[in-house]
Amino acid sequence: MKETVKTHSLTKEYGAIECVSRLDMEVHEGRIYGFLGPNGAGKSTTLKMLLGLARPTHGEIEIFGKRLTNRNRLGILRNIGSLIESPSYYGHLTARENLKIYQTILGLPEKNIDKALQIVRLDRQQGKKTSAYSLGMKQRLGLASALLSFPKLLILDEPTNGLDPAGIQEMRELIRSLPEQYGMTVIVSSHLLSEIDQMAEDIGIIANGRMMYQGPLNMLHETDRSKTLEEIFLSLTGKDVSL
Amino acid sequence: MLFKLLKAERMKLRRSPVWTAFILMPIVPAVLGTVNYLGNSEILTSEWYSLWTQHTLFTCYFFLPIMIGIYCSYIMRLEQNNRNWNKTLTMPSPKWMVFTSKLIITAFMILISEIWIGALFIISGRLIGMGGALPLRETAVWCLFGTLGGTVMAAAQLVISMLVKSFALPVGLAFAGGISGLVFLVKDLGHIWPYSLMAYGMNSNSPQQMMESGYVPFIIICIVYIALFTAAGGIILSKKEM
Amino acid sequence: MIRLLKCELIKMRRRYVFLSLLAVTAAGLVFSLYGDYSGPGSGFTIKNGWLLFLYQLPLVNGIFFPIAAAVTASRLADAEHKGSAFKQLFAAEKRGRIYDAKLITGLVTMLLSVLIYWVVILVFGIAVGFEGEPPMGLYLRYLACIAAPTAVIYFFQHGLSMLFKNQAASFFAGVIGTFAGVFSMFLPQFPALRNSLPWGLYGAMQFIGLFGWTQETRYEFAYFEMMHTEPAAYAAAAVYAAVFYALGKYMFCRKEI
Repeated sequence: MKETVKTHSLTKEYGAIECVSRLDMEVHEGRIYGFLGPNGAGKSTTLKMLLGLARPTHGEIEIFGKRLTNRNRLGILRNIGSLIESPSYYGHLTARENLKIYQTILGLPEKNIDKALQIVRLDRQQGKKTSAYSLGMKQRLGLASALLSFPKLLILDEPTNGLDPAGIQEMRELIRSLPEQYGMTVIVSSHLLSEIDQMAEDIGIIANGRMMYQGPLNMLHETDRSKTLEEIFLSLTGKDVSL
Repeated sequence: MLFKLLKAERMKLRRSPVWTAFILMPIVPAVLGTVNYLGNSEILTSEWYSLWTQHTLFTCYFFLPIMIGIYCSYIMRLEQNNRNWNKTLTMPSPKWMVFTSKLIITAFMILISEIWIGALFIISGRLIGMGGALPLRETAVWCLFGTLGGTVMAAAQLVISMLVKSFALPVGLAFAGGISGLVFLVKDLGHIWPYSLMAYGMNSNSPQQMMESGYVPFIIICIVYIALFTAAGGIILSKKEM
Repeated sequence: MIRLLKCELIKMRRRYVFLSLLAVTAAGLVFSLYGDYSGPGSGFTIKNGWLLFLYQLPLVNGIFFPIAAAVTASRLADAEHKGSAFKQLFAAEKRGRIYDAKLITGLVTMLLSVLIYWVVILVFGIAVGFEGEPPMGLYLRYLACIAAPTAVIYFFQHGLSMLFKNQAASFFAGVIGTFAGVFSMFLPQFPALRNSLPWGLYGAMQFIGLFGWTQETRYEFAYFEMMHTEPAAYAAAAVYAAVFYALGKYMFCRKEI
């Protein structure tokens, strides 16, 4: 199986603090990779390094089989859609205008906007100023802008934040459908085990910047049948997991 | 790519009435400067030049620098709000171009206000029955050079606003910059100090100033500064950790 | 109230509010004091220095204190706008009190800056050797005449900065007002303009005039003297302060978040 993302000994230090420590991540093409860890474990930092928003202190990143360098970064970014931390939006503009900005820069056809809005079900509220949006709607807008180019790789950082239970369910189903429908590879991070459990096929568990487990989700289930996933998670990370 | 970014930058400024300030501001010196000119016409004898000084003296030392400072702060604030840098910097566009597109948008705003300042100057001169031929060519040159010098200031302010995440502090610095511009001009260093170049280009305190030193050095100095600040902006953006 | 003021002080930490104010004050001082004090042409300046300052400085003050007020008000309000912290504050405290606490903080900072400015001016005058003792009575009056318009303008800037999330709005209003105010000082034939513009009050309250200056003789026969000021200016200052304060607070209390 081809790897869409591969990191070798990826490390990020802020001063003396090692935020991400010798991380070897493997994300396979066409799969949904659940990146699980408690708050502050280094998930966002790792994802930012994949996008070039933060520079690794040590280690290497390979995306689409190419080593990520300053030179090929832009070409690689063209094929990645992302939603990092909380959604980005210009509050004085409508959802449609927000997407239009990225559509222009990416040189995409106008119909991508309609499609993305439809997928995240914002098509009816697209004419409203985004500053008036609820957190959940902003989150959907963030997803729409990540989907806009229907990229090969989608990186979503805690995409269900701020969504109501129905919205969370919807988002899960949507994410699950992406590899099949559009051939995307998806990395989705969460601090909620139950969420990753329902979405991901492969899983990476990170705690204190270290990868504690990586592999297919069902393998994790099989390693120790006597324990619940929560117990496994607790034993791996030493942290209680919020459900 | 730059063209696409420019289009995108323009869209970001939609629905924001910031540009109206650039239209309103020059009306103040145009009206009050003209009245002042009329009130002191026995001292101010250089006719069109005196009127130009009345219109632009305070504008280019204090008010236009502050306006440029506010505009640059506003443009950077758009990105600093709601984590927009995350998205802007993961677009497949070179970082120096992101900076350049913001600079061009600002330069365009400066150009608009310079043209407006020039138009108000000609109109008010005509209205008060100023004699002689219309100084159209001079006005056009002053306004274009003012734009060029103003763009240097804008490039500096964009760098400052990007580094300092506050809205107000860079505006304060723009104000201090304007004052420093005045000091350097008085010391005859106006042609090399970035915050003097706008006033220098606009010839606001002595109309013949530029003719002596020539246009070419002025243009070269402006371009060098713009290139330097743009390079700095690009480097800061690429070192930026989100 | 004391508790809220303490909160404001905590919020000012690491934001260098006072430091940036000092920087602006310093810039204003450079701008005010820049000149020729020792050259061959400086005789008139040294001889009449104390009164010359009282004649010259109001214009300079009318440019930079309003800008400093805009900067300070914006910085204080921006702390809340940026973190959307008003929502939380409103749940914990009455809006009017929040408004007042920030206003007092900003106002004290501004008046401190005015005071520093004033002291440096006096020290500077003594240091370069202006003739005679500093006329303290006149200088105290001058202190009041820069503090009052600055306070009025601070009320205005504070209101706008608190009301509008987009700080460009309050800045542009302040800049255009300042601009009009500066010009109003050059138009002695329209006293109403000075008296009716909050930014023109610096000029309206100016009480030392230059007389005997002509184009031919220049400073040869020039002298400074007390001049008449319109009482309307003081009334206008009081009215503006009250209106800006009341209106700003009223609108802030009714603002939807």
